[in-house]
Amino acid sequence: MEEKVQLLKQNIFTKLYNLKNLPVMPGLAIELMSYTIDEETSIKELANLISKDPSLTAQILKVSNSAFYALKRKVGSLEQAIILLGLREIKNLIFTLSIIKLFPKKTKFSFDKIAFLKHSVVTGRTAEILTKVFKLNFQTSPFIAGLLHDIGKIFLDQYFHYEFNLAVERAKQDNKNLFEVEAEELGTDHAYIGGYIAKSWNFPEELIDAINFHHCPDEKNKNILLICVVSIADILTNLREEWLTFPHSGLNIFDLKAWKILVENCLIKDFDIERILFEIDDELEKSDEVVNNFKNDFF
Amino acid sequence: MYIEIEKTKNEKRIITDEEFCFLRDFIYDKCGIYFRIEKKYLIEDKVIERMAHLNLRSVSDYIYYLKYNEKKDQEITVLYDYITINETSFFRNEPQFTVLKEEILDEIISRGNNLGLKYLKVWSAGCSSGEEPYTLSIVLNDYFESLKSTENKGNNKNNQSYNNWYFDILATDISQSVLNKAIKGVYGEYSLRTTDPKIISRCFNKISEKEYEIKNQYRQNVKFKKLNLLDNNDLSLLPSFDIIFCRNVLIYFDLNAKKKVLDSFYNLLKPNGYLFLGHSESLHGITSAFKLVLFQKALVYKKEV
Repeated sequence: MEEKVQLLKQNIFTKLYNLKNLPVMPGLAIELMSYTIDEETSIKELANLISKDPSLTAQILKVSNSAFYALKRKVGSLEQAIILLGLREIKNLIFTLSIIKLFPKKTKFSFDKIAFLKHSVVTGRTAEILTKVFKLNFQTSPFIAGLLHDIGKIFLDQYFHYEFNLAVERAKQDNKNLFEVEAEELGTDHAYIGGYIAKSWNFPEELIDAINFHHCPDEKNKNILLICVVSIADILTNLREEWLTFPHSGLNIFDLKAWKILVENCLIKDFDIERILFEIDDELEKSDEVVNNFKNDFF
Repeated sequence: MYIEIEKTKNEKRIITDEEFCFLRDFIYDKCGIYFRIEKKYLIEDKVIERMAHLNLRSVSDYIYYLKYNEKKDQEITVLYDYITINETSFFRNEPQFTVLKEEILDEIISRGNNLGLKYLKVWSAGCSSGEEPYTLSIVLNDYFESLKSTENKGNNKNNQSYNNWYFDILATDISQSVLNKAIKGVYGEYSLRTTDPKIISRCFNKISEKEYEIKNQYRQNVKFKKLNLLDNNDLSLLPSFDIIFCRNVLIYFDLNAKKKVLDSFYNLLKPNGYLFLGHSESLHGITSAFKLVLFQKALVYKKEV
């Protein structure tokens, strides 16, 4: 590896291994990580826990009443929100609102926060859809895995703004995957960094791996199924979004290594790929509405 | 009894998201077209109208009717006509044309250059009033023009030769009256609502306050012909095509007719040729002969050989 890149890689890791520099995931989200759906959780307890953060509470109520969920009834309290949306969805929502807090306030964030948020949310939804299609079961919520897969980019943009954006530009120009160009220019990549950040939050190994390896699934990894789900969710979401991601254009999904691994691991023979893509379009539409309506609250 | 009816008349009936999903899934399974949530409002009014007309009180009753009633086929046709509003316009669903000119054409042209066959044939099946074939003509004309000029300037990218290439577009429809309109080539602002104004000024002549006529340069590659997709005699006269566009046409056919048409398409496509359907249409469950290829915001089917 070129000396310049070696040096840069060292700098990145030095910065990364200093806990002070890492984004802080709101404590509530971290606490919720260990709330599982099977555990008998008192709704009142959970509502009390969440209500300690008034702005989060307000956001939850607002989004619960929006077209994103299109609930039949108005939600007037946290407890109602928990009952109507269910524990899993409340967790998903809290994580979504938490990811917004990871954006550094002071430095100029070069890429489009709104687009980043939308991509993260929809990748999460797509991961859920794929989990259902393949009839899989994960300890970690696939939504959360999809939601957090690109958090490494936030770190890179904040501390290595110039180099990271050079890599982004070159990837576009040369028609290559960002992941590959990062390896060439930075000596590391947003997936590894994201995984390291998730580790610093003491997240489950399954989730760390899903973030770390979403661009290079390896069947020897014991968490390979969630890794593949996030990998495919990312690619499919990119293919339905506005901006061009040339490396994947012209894709036959059955050629994807991650897809092949998932197929080998399940008994399903027939897949309605078109339907999955149309559902992703719906999710993009829904998240568009919510993010655009709430961007003043969020950012 | 009287009071009940009155009450129902005054309530504004809307379809819940759940009912919409039932209806949407039924339509998707029945005819391979997926209605996105954003289209819910389109369906809502019409479905309620039909329910009132048929004296049905719930959406699930209506779906039951669509599935089991002896008059279900008629009703499905009526529903389609109501909900598939005439969507045709120039550059309708632009991502498909972007993918065509930025990815698919390069592939086909380079293959043609290698084989020494410099003729591109495109079929707009179900061309309606002509917006689609003329759009294709604009896209193809621009593609070849820009590549020829690049080559002539000496910037021969990829060592491809774009000179001496020909292309033609066959545009067919079952209705002569609609073909006549297409041949006339005059359009109003509505047809041009999804078109870049620069293209409008370059490719059309404004012949009156609100009317635009397609320029001759874009007519010469397009040939209109009356054709029934289910008529073997009509089909037997056709050549092979590199690309077929058949958007929002198959939805009107029942399963057997769909299979028959798709079979014909497969046979009429050259090896590694492409088929474009409507952006919410799916071949899933109908035929697995074609390979699904995913481009940016466009699903395209390929006769992969």
